[in-house]
Amino acid sequence: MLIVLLLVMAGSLLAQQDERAVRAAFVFNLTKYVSWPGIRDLLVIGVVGPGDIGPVLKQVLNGKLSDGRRITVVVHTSESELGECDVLYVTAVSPAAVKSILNRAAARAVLTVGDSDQFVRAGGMVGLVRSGDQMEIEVNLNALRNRHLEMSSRLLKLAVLVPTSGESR
Amino acid sequence: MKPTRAISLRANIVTVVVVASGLAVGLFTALITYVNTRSSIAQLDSRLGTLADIIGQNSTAALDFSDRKAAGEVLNALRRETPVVSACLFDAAGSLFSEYERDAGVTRCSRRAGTAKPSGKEYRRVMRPIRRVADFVGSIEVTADTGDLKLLNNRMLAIAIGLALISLTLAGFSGTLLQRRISRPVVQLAAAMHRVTRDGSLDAHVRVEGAHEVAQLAAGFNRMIVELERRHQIARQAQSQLLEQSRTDSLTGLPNRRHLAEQLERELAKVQQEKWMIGLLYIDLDGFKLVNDSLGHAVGDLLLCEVAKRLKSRVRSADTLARVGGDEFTVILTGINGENDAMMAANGLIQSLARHFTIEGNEITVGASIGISTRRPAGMDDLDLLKQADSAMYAAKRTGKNRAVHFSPELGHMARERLTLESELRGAIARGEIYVDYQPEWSAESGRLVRFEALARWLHPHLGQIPPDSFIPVAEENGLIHSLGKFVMKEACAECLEWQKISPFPIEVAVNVSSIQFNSDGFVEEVSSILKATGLKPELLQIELTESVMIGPLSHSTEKMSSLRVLGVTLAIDDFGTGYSCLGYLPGLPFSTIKIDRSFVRRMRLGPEVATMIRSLIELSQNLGLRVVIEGIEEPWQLEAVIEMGADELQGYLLGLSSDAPRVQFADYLGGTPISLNAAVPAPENGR
Repeated sequence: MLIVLLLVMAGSLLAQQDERAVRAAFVFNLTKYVSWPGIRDLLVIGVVGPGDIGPVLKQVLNGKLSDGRRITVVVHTSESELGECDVLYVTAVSPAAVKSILNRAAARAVLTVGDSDQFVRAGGMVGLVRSGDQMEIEVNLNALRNRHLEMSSRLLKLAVLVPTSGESR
Repeated sequence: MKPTRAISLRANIVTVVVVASGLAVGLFTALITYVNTRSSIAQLDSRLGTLADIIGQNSTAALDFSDRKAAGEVLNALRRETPVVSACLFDAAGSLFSEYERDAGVTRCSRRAGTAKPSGKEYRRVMRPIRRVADFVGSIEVTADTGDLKLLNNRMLAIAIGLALISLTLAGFSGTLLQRRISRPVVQLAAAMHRVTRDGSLDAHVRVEGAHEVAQLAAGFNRMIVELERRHQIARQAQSQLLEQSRTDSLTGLPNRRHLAEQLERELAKVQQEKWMIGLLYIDLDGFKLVNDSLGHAVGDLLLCEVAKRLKSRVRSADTLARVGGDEFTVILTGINGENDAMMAANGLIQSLARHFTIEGNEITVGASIGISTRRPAGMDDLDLLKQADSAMYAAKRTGKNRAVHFSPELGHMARERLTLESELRGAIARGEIYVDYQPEWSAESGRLVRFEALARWLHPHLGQIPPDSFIPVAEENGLIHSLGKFVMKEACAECLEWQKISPFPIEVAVNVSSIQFNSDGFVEEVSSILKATGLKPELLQIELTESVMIGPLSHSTEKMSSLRVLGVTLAIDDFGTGYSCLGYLPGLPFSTIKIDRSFVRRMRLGPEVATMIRSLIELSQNLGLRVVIEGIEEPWQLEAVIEMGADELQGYLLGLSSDAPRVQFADYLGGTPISLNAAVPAPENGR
């Protein structure tokens, strides 16, 4: 099913109604190019912020295996649940909101993914930003390294590297 | 190689070397090119695989995140790889995701994976799946052309061909060197062989060199040449021996007819440049057939050998004596001045045969008839010379034997059948060819000339002098003896009359009368008429008869003799001792003289018995009242002996040869001068 989805995604331009599915696929693929410190059997994806992407992610990815890890999607993640997450999908648009969310998850090696073009500059790790028909991947390498996450160079080659706004200065 | 067209050994060797090395180099080149091509393709394939893998691995993210741009960039990295003409990236669903084309405007990638057309010979294609860990994310198809490969191969091929050419050239050179080492001795051999066959020269040894086999060949060739030389020599010897044999008479060892012909040709060629004449004597033995028939062929052969020896001893070394037939011999006389020389030579040969031969105890006497021809200045051809000598010999044979006849054109014209003594004798008297010679007889007591014996002579214009031994029997046979005898008697009587005019003493004349003539009717009357006609006193005529007179009715002969005695003519018995020699009836016959045959005197040298016999004969004859005349005195000792024995009268070459002009020859003696009987009297110079 995922393949079909990817095919649809690759074979045609991103459609408005399919964008959430494409994002779900991107998230899934993203997990394959990132390695976490330590070994865990579960891969927990938490969804924070407004929007309806959460159920789509849950619907598409829940129970899937990524490099042998079972994916669990947690929609509307509470403060307490943040500590359990390996991937945190942030839908918040404002940088302030993003920063506050990131600060909450700061202690853990959590891959933060956002869909706002402000997300990476605000301190997020990977941004899936819509650019016309294409989905652009923005990566903040420093943020990744700070949380001891490693991203495959192959993915990096596709990505646009963006520093945290504070750091660039 | 066709058998009709021989290629030289030299060309063969070079060709073999060049072809062999050419084949080796060609095979090597082809193999190298093939292997190289295969390995290049394998290399290309493996490289393409590697490239596909690398590109595929580098494309996983681009596929995962649908980043065609990124994928295109990755594929573009193939630009460095010039053989790669295209690279097609397909996603997991098999759709073309991204592509790379080396050459602008050419699209090689199909829309769906695995549906590409066959790439063709000039291209290599690799299809690889792309995996990320275990997940299939797509596939890549890389195609490369083999143009570079071909270029590379062509370059290699060019190098290989260049090397091949160089090695072929080297092979040619080494082949030539090899060829020289092998073929030079062979070529030398061939040249030597050619010399032998072309020039027949056996002086063709070759140097023994080269490879072992060739050296053996050369040594073998030399041995063969030596052997050939040896055989050649033997063949030459055999040939010359054969030639010698073919030119030699096996019995006598003399040259044969063939050799004679060759020799004659040579001598004739020579004589053309010289002023000398050349003479040819054709000799045929008289009486040889009789010897052969009576004593056998073995004796005949021995006789021929002895004859050959004797003839040979008489022939000058420059002359050629050959045996040309059974009993026929030929002599080529060279450097003679004229016909007389040839005649002298011929007579010499006849003389040499006069002495008897003793063969196996048999005393054999053979004569020889010789034909002579001489080469004249203006000429007959060579064959004629032999032919002429032959016909002259025939003439000699037919005209009395044991004589030599020179060829004359008239002789040539005469038919052989006609050419007989008989035919020639007819008319000889009329033609004046018959004349009379006179031989003196001397008194043993006083040495005075007492008598001349008249001897018939025949000088034939072409046959020359024909001896009485030859023509008298012929005349007797055909009756010509009558006219001949009459002629001689007439001549003798007339001559005798002349002597009386000169001589102070009566000089008698003795005339031989053949028994046929004597026995004919009217002989006495004939004598009487001659005496009358000439006017000669009958007592000066002495008729000499041979013992053959006594054959037949003796009474008849006795009567005739008596009649002659009545006429006054005296009678002598001639050549006593050759016939019956029967002294018994002598007393009853009116002979006054007995002439002892010359053979007695001649045989005196054999021993005292002969002398005793002569002495007794003389004594007996004298006792019978006969005068004894000794004939054939040729040596002074014979003369001395017979005088001592008491002979009355003497006759012989020692005391005077016969002469047709006695009045000139013996003028002194006719005048009364006695001959000296103590010493040899120099023989008169005139012919016999």
